[in-house]
Amino acid sequence: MTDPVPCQPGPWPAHVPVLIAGGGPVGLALAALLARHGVASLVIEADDSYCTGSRAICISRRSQEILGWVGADVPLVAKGLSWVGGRSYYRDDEVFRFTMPSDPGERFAPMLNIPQYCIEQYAHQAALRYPTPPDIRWRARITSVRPDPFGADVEIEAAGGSRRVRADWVVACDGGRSTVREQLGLELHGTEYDGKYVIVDMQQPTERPVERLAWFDPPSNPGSTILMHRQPDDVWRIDYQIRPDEDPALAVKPENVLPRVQNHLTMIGETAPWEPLWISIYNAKCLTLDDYRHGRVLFAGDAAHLVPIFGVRGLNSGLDDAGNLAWKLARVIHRRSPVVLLDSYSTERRHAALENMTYGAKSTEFMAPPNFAYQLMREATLRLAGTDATVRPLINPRQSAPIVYQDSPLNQGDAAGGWTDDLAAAGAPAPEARLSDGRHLTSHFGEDFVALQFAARPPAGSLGLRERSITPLWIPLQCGEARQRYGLGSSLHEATVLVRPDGYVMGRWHGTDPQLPLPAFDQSGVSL
Amino acid sequence: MTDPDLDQSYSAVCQAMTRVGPDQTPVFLSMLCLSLISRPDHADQALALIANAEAQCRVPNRAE
Repeated sequence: MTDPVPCQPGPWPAHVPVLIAGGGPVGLALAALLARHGVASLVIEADDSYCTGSRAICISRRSQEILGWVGADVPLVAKGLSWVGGRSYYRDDEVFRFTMPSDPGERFAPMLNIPQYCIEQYAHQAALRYPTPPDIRWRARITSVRPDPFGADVEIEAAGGSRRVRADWVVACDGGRSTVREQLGLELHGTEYDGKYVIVDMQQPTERPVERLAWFDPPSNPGSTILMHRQPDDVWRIDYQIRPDEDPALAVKPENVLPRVQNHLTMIGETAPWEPLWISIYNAKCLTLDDYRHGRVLFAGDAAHLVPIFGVRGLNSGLDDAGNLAWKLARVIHRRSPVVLLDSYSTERRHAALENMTYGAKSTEFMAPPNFAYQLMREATLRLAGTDATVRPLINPRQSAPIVYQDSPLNQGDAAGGWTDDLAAAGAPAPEARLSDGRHLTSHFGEDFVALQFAARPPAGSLGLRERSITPLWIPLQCGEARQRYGLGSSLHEATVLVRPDGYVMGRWHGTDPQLPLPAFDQSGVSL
Repeated sequence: MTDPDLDQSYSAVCQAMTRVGPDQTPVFLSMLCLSLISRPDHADQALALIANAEAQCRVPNRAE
């Protein structure tokens, strides 16, 4: 299933700049991103290898971009199955079809299906290619975290006994049952839903297109809701809702799972022999910490927030956490930014978690109606959807999309007027566009700041920008797509858009004088 | 109406039904329906929606 985990155990370090608790997809992606920024981390993982079972499988375009910053997109795209849309059925009838925005020749598809252990493997392998690779310790368990104003003492139980490591920074990526969170006496707050879904991975060859398939009240399993996603290697992910009166412990037993899956496969005409690979159970949660920074301890992924699986915001938001945190933490460690920059990580990513929960709650209320009202309204929607197109958008699964940080403390100068829209306003994810050399604009992001200079001729001089490690990138007039997506209309010829290392817009100005963004940049809290 | 507007209205109806409870839900939905069918300029528009909703009721309830 996975390549063997490289074995590295050298002597344990006494002191590290960053200790990452948890070697799951978020921890390993963060380790790779930090390595790209020249920061070596120590990763502590209780398991002896990558995860078992597919777990998170739907990787958004944004997540593919983030993994692309460390080159992990190449194996990801080669292995994964890309898709752009899906269809929903009520009983026997198709009642909704959706397509996510997608262009021929785009860098990444809107979604890609791949098992989580592959993401862990590719992030890990990417991390090892840098001169400052992470030190990853498998079969090691954190037993105590004692933070102080300058770092934390971390006790670790590993082969050969217990160790103590001093870390300047600790990042908790240790999942929904985070030990670090427990050690700091912190609790998640929010809502938990009752409706339970059984999750099954099974192997069966198929010729079906790759798309998201949903059945409400299918004849194969009356009253239930079933989701299907194809994965690589002839694996299907099947999720189905169990009845409220079913015992979850019994519901995951093969003798209860297999007949339901078989009924459904028969119904949709998939007749090839199949075998189950992994069975689990899930209920939707909308939970978050109140703050993702507690002094020298930071929280990311499921350790910080739990969002419903419907709409695939779980791992995707965790990877966005890693993308947001890595450049900030690296700048702080390299003494290029004040420590307070890390407060913006919490502000931005907690805002994102709350937005994700709002969308996730709506998806959950449709996919696992929490009471009679949602149940009745869903039935009304599904019954009407076949004949009344106006209600069909309610069936849309509202897939994960990057969240705008409109209130970020880092947002700077947005010259009033002259822009055709706010898609590239400060705090927005910088839009993708094709450049005249055929490259994609997002392929320039992920390392340091980029100043996009929209102008007829290359702006003269870049003094001040390069001193601050801001890379100027000239966007000539013929890049109509980029000009349109960045809000440059016929009345605005020249503009500068400052893009952060995580591909978010920090500010935009009329004109291309390289001095334009400097005052705002210097006062933003990014620079020392 | 935009998709987010429809979403918002749908959630508001579900939340109101939850608050009034199952017993009061039929009269709540009837009142809401009356308010809505009084909005179009002509009865034809409402009558078409009524006929379609009635037709969908002829689809049998799901097997328990």
